[in-house]
Amino acid sequence: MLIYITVFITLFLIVVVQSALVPFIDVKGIAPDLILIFIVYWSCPRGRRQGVVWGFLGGILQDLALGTTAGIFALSKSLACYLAFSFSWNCQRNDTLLMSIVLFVAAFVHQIVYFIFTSTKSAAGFLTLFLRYGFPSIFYTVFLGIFIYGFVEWLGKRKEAK
Amino acid sequence: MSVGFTRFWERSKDQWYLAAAIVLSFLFMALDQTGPVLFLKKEIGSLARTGQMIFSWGPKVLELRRENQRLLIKAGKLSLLESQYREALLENRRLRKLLGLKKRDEFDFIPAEVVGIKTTGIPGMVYLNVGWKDGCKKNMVLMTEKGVVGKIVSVSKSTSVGELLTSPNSRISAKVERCRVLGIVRWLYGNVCILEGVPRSSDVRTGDLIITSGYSQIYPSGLTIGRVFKVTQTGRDLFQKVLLRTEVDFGTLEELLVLKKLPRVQEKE
Repeated sequence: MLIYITVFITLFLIVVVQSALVPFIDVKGIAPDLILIFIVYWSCPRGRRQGVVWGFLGGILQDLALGTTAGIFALSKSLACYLAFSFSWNCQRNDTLLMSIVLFVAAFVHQIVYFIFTSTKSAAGFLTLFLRYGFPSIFYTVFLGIFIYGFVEWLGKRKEAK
Repeated sequence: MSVGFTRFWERSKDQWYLAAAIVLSFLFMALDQTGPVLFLKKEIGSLARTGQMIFSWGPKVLELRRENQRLLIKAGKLSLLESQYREALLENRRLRKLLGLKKRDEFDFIPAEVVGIKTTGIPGMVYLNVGWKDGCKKNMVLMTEKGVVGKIVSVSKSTSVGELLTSPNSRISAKVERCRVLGIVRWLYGNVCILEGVPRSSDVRTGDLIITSGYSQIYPSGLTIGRVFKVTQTGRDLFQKVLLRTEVDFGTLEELLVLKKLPRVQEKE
């Protein structure tokens, strides 16, 4: 139980960091999704069910903490994790390549679902918003994810060697 | 029967979890502007804002030196302008009085620091370090020296949430400064907006300044929004497509001013 509480608090801290520090590394409004990187890292080896639960919790925390329409991030993140984890039967944390592929699929589904909902209110259409914000953001997220997963894998190997 | 159901439940447990997540998400969407969700947003939001203030403190300190130099230069330029404007203001007051025009609203500013920006998806929200204890209220206008930025949508004791002009929800009643044609400004992408509802016959040109119309409960008149860079008329459309670029760079927002309406006082004789 304690581990789940720790993960939930970590998730909340990442939501805060996402809005407080990520603006310093964004490129023309394009930013990586740290929350998705963490959810994939935590849930991928644990399977689809955990992915849906943590995707929903991460998304709803993001919705409520950032004041956006409640439910949109929750829906997109839980759907993204469900679909992405459907393809990854033997996901291991020390397999950076597989984790990055799963992250790519998750980020892709997440952006599509998110922009389907937000583009209904916008003067610009789905395609304009997705190509301008969603698509570059997927690559930025995966790029940063590869570094983070690779770094964690390297740390793990170093620990094992010691 | 019960064995069959248990087997079915076990086999499709993942799908049930997903279905529950989808139903809950739609429930949250449906109840978005109602009491319980607003309460959750306020409580979790203000906790997050406290965290944002702590996290953004480090990078802000590093920025201070550069900002100080920038402000010194700006203060010099503004003091020159102030003397010119003071004369114009006095003249304007005399003439308005002479014509018997109603006194305009006067405003004060509450300086605010941006402690967070929504970075996932469309960047249409900012989080500020001022709240109702500083005099902030919902629907107060946010601006920089370059023009309108957005409005406050939620306030807590010491923090508030601002909805930017670059939010898909944002709409501002505006007019073209030169020819006084009215329209509604909506965000398109980046710093590009569209002025909707401009009749085909209107004389809107590239380079025209778009300002707030004042026909709104929120935005007072005359605040700069942006400049027209493209005007197109297609087929038999009744309206022109007027595209404008905002004067404010939404990617580099660090400090904002909250526009506070002052109570009207009788002008001294």
